[in-house]
Amino acid sequence: MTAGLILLVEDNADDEKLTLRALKKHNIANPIVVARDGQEAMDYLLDSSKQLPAVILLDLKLPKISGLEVLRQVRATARTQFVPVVILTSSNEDADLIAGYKGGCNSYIRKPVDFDQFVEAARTLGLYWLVLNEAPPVSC
Amino acid sequence: MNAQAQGIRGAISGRWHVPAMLALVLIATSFYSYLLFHTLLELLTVLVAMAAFVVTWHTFPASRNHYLLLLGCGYFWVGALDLVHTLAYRGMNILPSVTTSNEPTQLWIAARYSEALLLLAAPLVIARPLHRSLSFALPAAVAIALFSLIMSGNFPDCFVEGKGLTPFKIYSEYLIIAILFGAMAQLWQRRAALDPRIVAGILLANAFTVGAELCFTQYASVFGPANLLGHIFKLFGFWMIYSVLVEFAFRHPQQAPAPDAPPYRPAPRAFWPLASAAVLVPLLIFCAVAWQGYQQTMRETQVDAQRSAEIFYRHARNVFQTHELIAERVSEHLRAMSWDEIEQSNGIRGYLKQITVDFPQAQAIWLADGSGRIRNASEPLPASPLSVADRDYFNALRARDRGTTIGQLVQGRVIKGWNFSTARRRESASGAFDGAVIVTIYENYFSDFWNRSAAEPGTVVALVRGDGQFLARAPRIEPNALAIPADAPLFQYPHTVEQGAYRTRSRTDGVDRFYVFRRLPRYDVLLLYGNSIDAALASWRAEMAVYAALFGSAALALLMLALATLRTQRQAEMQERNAILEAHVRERTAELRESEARFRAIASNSPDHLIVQDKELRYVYVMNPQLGLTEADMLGKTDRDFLSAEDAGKLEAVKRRVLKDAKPVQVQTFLRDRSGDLQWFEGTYVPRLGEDGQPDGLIGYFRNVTERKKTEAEIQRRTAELDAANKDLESFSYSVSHDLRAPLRSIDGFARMLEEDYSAKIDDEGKDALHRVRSAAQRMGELIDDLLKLSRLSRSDMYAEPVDLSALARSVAEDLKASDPGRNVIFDIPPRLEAHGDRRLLTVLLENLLGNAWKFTGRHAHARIELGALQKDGKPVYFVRDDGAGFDMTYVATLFAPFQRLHLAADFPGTGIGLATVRRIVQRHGGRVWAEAAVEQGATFYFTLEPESTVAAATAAQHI
Repeated sequence: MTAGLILLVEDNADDEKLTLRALKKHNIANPIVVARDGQEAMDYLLDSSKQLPAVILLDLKLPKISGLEVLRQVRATARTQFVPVVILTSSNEDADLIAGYKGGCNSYIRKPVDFDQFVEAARTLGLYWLVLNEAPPVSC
Repeated sequence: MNAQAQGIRGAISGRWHVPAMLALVLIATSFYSYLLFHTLLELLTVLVAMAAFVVTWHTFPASRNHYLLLLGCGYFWVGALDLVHTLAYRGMNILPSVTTSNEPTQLWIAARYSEALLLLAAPLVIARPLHRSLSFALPAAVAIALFSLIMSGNFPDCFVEGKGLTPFKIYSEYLIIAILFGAMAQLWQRRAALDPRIVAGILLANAFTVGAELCFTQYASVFGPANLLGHIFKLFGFWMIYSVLVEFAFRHPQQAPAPDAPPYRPAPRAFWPLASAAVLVPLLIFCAVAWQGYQQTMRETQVDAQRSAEIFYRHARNVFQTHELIAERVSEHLRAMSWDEIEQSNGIRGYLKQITVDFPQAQAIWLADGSGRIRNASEPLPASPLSVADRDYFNALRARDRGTTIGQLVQGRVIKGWNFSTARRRESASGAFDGAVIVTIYENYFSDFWNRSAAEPGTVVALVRGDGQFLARAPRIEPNALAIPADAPLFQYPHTVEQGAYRTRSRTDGVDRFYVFRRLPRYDVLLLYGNSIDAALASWRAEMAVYAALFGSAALALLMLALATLRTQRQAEMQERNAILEAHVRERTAELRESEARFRAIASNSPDHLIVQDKELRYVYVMNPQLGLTEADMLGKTDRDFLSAEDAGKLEAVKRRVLKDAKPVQVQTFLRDRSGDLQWFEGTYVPRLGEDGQPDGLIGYFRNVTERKKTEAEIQRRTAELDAANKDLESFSYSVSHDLRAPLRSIDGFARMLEEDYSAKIDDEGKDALHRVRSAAQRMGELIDDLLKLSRLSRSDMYAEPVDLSALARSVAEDLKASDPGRNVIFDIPPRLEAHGDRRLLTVLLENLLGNAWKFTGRHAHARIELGALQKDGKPVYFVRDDGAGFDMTYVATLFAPFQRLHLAADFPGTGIGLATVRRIVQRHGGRVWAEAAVEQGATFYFTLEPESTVAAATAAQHI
């Protein structure tokens, strides 16, 4: 079995780079696929030739299709319904939290401004979802 | 006191010549006749009293002086008693039942008692006014009661003929003097309420009356110098009263009312009480006088009957004694003679004749033998033998052993005319019956004498035998032999009763009489005297007729007086009512004028539109015509004449409903004006009710609210804008949270990357710069977070419930202690602190306040943080107090603004958003937050969680 794939849905290039760096910093060598908007993410996820990610790191504020919509579609699609989704966003608005959990996200993490904290969050994330967490079976 | 003295001087100085002159004239008359003096003087006082009454009574509506009114009425009745006193005075011979000086003296005392009591009682009505009719009726009651007592003989005797005044009379005078002194004291006490001249005058009158009374205790006769002086004093006293009453009734009516006299109220119609009094009072007096006269007449009739009966009895007794004497003497003279000798003796006739001449009581003398044959007589006998054997007296003598008997009234056989006889038994030596000596007397011997002696009509005098047969009667009746029936009252008396009296209606002539009878000794013969009651009452009746006329006139006069009084009173009332009415009309007119003016002012300046329409919905009144119309366009027309068919139909439908239901209807409608623009109107149609209570039209008042409608539309538009702006703001803060933070993260992240990846190439200064870049970015992140928190507080929903602030505070304190276990801080939190608010927000509030306190005590080794509450206006004021760094009150104004800090971040970390958050939370609860502090002396933050009193709120609102 190949190492778990991470799908990073992030439109901000800075954030993408910082996220990747934070992950790398902790030697998380798992393959990372980056989708720059919701549509791209969905295209990837709905393409059955592609490997299903072990975890989706999902920003909420995305061009074209919003993060919440992506979450809804992920949960609505049989193929992706069990894929763990971690919302990784700047917002800690109650409304967003509620919408996220209602949509069936598995975790909600607010991106800290402090990069050190961000790195720590990324490490914890990777350790948890990629190592500790048992991913659902590929086909079920 | 000055006023009093002036009043007394005024009273003494003036008006004395008239009574003085009168007194001199009257004293002069006393030398001619004391009775004339007395009569004139008393009549003068009566006149003065009556005049005073008339004046005060009729000027009362103007003067309104209850004190003077009562005096006037009272003196009327004192005068009335004095009048009767004068009429009854000795020598006047006007009142027949009054024969001594007792009654006039009693009347005098009664009048003086009345006067003294009146003077004593009158000052009382100064404070408590008496009704006008009562003012007259009360003294009347007293006077009539006293008069009735005197006339019925129930008043104590005042004068006894030959002895002079009784102690009652004398002590009464002293008592009256005492009462008068009491009256003076009474008046003096109440002098403040009266004109000083009134007080002085009445006091002087009192003094004169006292003087008069002192004189009257002295005199022994009703004609004497003390009596004269007393009467003169009395005249002066009356004159003084009269002067005061007239003076103040006429000349100074405006000064007369007492200062605190209540406003005059028209008396209720008192016609019937007054009329009844006018009729009843004289009627009662008349009845008393009549009854008195009747009793007197009856007494006199009885006395007269007794006296007359006595006289006639003595006369009759003498006659019969004479008869007996004659019979006895004749018997003695003839004792030795036989009947034949008697018959043949020539001297006997002459002897007997001589006796009849000597004694006219004996009309004839007869001598009858044992068989009844007349043997001799004083009269010549007829040729044929004459026998008296059929006469009852002869048979009575023969049958019974009786010395003398009286025969019945018979028609004479020898002497003509009605006569009766006294017969004396003649006895033989053996004592056997042997004839009789008979003395005959004419019936008219008695009746003629009686007729002469008792000539009054209806009087009867009679001699009646025990069997009821008349012997004689005056006036004579035919046939003379009639008898009194055996069941007559006379025969109710046993034969042993010597005399008696009774009243009955005679069955002989039908006259009602008072009878007195006397029984003659030794004979069963009664002398009966009766005098006619009718005849006796005739004079009484005549007298009573005169009285009736007198009292009838008096009643009529009083009735007229009552009517006149009532008419005067009614006129006064009418005038008063008219005056009130006129004043009212004036007032109402002024009000109306003012109201009209006010209405005009409002109408001309008011935007309101007022219309009145009749039943056919034609306009009858228009104010502020709208829609570019004028009054002329509308008056007399209907809506259809000047509105579009659509608008008119709309309005008239509503108006018809108002007319039909008779209920107001509120209307909001738009109409097109002449230029076709829409005009909005708001108002009410009210039914106008006619006299039958049914709507006979309607009134509408309207306001053109077009401008308001426009404003409302504008407000709606702006509200929508505001909502949109709020939405924008929300999306803005959302953007802030996302989009502002993202670059910060980049700044921090890439600065970090530089630090890590290029540390070899960057010198220490560069590294420091990178560190500062990162610090700034991180701080900005915190600021954004706090700002978002604050904005969320403002937007989040609130749920108010009872909250225990102490529990929340303890939880916050635990967290704080846990964050830095090394610190020595005492939290002073009460066991329970009730509040009403949103639990989540209050938690944030306490986190901030306690957190601040925790933070600003951080430099002190020991710290104390207190949570508590005060009561202000019955509402709790919570506070959090610390003994930390405090702050300078100079900057308190900026304390609660966001991002304002009073300390360096280096000293005390923080974004400056905490107190702004606190204020936001308190404001959302409707409360207020403020602080008191001093540098290094700690700070206290107060807050309330409910609005302060509405007044304070209103004041606050005004300041805004």
